[in-house]
Amino acid sequence: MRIHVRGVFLALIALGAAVAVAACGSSSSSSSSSGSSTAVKSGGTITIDSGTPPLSADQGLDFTTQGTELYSVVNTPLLTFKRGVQGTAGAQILPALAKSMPTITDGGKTLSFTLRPGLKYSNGTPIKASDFLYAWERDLKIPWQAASFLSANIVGGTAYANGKASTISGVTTNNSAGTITVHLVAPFAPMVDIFALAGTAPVPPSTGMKNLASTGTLGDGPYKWGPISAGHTYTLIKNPNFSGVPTVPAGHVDKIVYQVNDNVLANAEQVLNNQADVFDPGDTLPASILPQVKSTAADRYAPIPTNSTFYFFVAVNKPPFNNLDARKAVLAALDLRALSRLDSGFLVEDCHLIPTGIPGHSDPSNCTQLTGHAAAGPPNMTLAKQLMQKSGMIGKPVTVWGEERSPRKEYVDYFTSVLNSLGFKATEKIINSGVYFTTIGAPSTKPQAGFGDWVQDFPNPWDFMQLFTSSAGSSLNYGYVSDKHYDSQVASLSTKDANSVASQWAALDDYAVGKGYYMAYGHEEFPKFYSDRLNFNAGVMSVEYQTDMTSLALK
Amino acid sequence: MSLNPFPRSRNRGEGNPSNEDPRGDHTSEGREGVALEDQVLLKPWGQEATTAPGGDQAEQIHAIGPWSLAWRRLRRNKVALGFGCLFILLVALCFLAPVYSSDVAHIGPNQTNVTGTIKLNGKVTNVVSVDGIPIGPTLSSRYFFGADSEGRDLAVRLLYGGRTSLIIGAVATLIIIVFGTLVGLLCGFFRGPIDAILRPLMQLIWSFPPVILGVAVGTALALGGIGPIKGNSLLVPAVIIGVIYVPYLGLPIRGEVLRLGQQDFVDAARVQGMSPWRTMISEILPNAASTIIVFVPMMLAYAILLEAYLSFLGAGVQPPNSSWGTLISDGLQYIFTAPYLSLIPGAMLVLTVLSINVVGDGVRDALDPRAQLRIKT
Repeated sequence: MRIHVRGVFLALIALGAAVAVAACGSSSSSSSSSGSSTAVKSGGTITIDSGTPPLSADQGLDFTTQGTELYSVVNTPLLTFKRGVQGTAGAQILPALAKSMPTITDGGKTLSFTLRPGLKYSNGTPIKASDFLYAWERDLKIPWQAASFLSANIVGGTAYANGKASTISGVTTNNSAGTITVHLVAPFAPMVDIFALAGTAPVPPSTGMKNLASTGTLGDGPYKWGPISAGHTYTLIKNPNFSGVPTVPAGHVDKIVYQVNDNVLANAEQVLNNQADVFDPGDTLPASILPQVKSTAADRYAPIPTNSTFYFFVAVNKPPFNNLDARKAVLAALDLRALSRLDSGFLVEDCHLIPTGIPGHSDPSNCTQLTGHAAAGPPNMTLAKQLMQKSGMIGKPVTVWGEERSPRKEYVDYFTSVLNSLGFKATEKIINSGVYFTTIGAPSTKPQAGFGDWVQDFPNPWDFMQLFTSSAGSSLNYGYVSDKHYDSQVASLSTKDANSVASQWAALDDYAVGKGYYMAYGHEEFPKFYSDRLNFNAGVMSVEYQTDMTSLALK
Repeated sequence: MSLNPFPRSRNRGEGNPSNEDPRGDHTSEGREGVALEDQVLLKPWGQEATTAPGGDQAEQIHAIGPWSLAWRRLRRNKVALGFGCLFILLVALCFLAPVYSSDVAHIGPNQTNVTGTIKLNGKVTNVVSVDGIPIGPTLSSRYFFGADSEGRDLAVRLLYGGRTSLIIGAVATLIIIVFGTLVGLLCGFFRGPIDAILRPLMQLIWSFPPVILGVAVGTALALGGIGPIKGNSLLVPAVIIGVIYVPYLGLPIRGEVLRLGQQDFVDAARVQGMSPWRTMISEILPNAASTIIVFVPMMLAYAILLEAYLSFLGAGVQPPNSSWGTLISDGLQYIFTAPYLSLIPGAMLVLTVLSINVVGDGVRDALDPRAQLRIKT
């Protein structure tokens, strides 16, 4: 037993030493260089620190922001979002493997593409038009997390996904002419955006119809996969056979190592101390290190607005949140300023789902009428308590789901505290960030309430509003919202150009907020934070790809 | 190593190494190298001291039971007593958490206050700044140790967290003692098929590193719970820790029971026709009691530490409830700007475990003077 006493003293000494070492580490941040070079240097290796791994390196399965960052430079689809421009300007769609933007005929129901000549995979194999059909079939079979984008909209997509057809009947290809024709079930404006997602990029027919999580697929982009340790490290190396698509830059650095460590503070420390080069923008810079970053690394840090929305969902199909007054009470009691502080001030308060940079964004001043208080104002607890009394839901148990990653866990702590202050008996279930969304999206989980977020996949309000349609299923519509008016409006507006019906999208967002289908609380600015080794001005934080890997360059 | 302080086949000349008279009035030594208190007539466990065989009054004074003798030794260990008082103080503080929360700090342990303000030196201050930095220690009734990132009062959560850690430690220790003793007795006394089944099972559990086993089981059960016990119940980590550490007591007790089973007094009991169960309960168990008692503080310390590890790793106490482990974990992201968020619960944990260990050492020394003699020589 004396050994234990000595052990405790040893532990104390070790703790002291650890703190001393850590303190030394924090104070040893190197001084930042000023300015950037005008000529962008090529070559070298850089590292990116991320708090969360992608679900898979296979774009035929994964649809996470982390995965998109990576395989968007490996797997180039027919179209692409504009690279090399910062922020929301990067939402513009351009042709990539397609020679031009698609020809849209048949009242918006047919899209025709023609491929550029001489396209090759990274191993030198030519890309054929039929490879696209195979890739889309693979998306439906694995399935891709966004498989419903294809199955619900392409003729024969659902039949193929259900095993009732041997191919997707709505897609025809001609390898000699290099043409691909896609027939849609109904006009669907976001379909063009979908063909700019890496998940729709071609793969050779020799690619297995299974998730290739630890190898990724053969690609055609400026980089190809190097060694992958799934969930830990993902390496990208320059593709020597990149055939030169004008809208996709070739990239500057030779090798990119994407390493995963769920300790976001340690990641930020590493970048601050130049031990890693990029802090993954999908993570929040911890408030504890922010003052240090702002003071000692101001020339290599900038918050960049992105199109993202953070929200809480509640299950509207069962008590207590099948009661409108109970949902409205929660809306009235939520203090969006508090949630912004939990996000180190990166969150711009808003009660709407459609973020600022997307057509259809509703004016945040509407929040006062919809929730009982201004978006950036104090909560209306008087109204909230009146509504709770009226609802008769006081004392009802609620389980709130959340993920471990900061500040997501803190959001859920706050939400739980608000629910308890309203009289619910709320408890939490906090689970690993890597499995959070797959867990709450599983049909068997049926979460009662929880945290959700959505980062723009493409610049169309449908991308956000489809989350709460009854057709979205449990994997996206965590609150089991089923409203015929909402569904029909989303379906109807999605057939038209988003800009032409922006006010109707905004009205639909207001309608859903008023119904308490979701409790959105803000849109986040993402941190662009690099090491001193990188050319900060050359690096681009894209609204579509987060860190645009093709822009990263050493000084 | 036998932890039985007074086997009936003693006296081998071991005892109080300081040669102090237990009454403290004079030094007296009987046989060479043996302190007076070890020359007293010792009574079997569980029996009161009675008149010594000689029957005279002087000898009656020395007829002292082993428990009394152990208590006398413990009382002389000022360091152990000091740490014992510290432990009692910590326990009392933690169990007064609701009083502190409602009457002093005026905020619940899980009540967030991100946009709240307090008056400090006449100046209104944000509990959490606009860019998310929590207020530091105010050393006043509100936010005495400062706030966490969610505006919760660290002092309140510290006391509630301590209460949680101590309750889990105590429940886990109870599980360990009850089941460890039972399994050890059954295996050691009956041997045969019972031993053949239970011993490998205990060895299997023992072969896993407790933290890894705890994290694996804790993570799995934190979601689904155990039967009727919900995943966020404090009983989940308590049961997990208890089960993990049962072999740490069960196997030593088994060894001790095996040794005791070969003693003459057990043979005598058998010869007298005592049933096996009665022999186990009335003869073996009292003689293994000192071993069990020595393990109590050790297991309590282990249990509190393991709870802290598990909660630190997210597999123990579930949020928003606090324990010292969760508080250390929550504070880690502020280790450079607000190190007190981790260091204060860390210090509480260290002080608690240290005090339990020192008291445990004292108890062990009191019950097993031979061990003390070995260490000192």
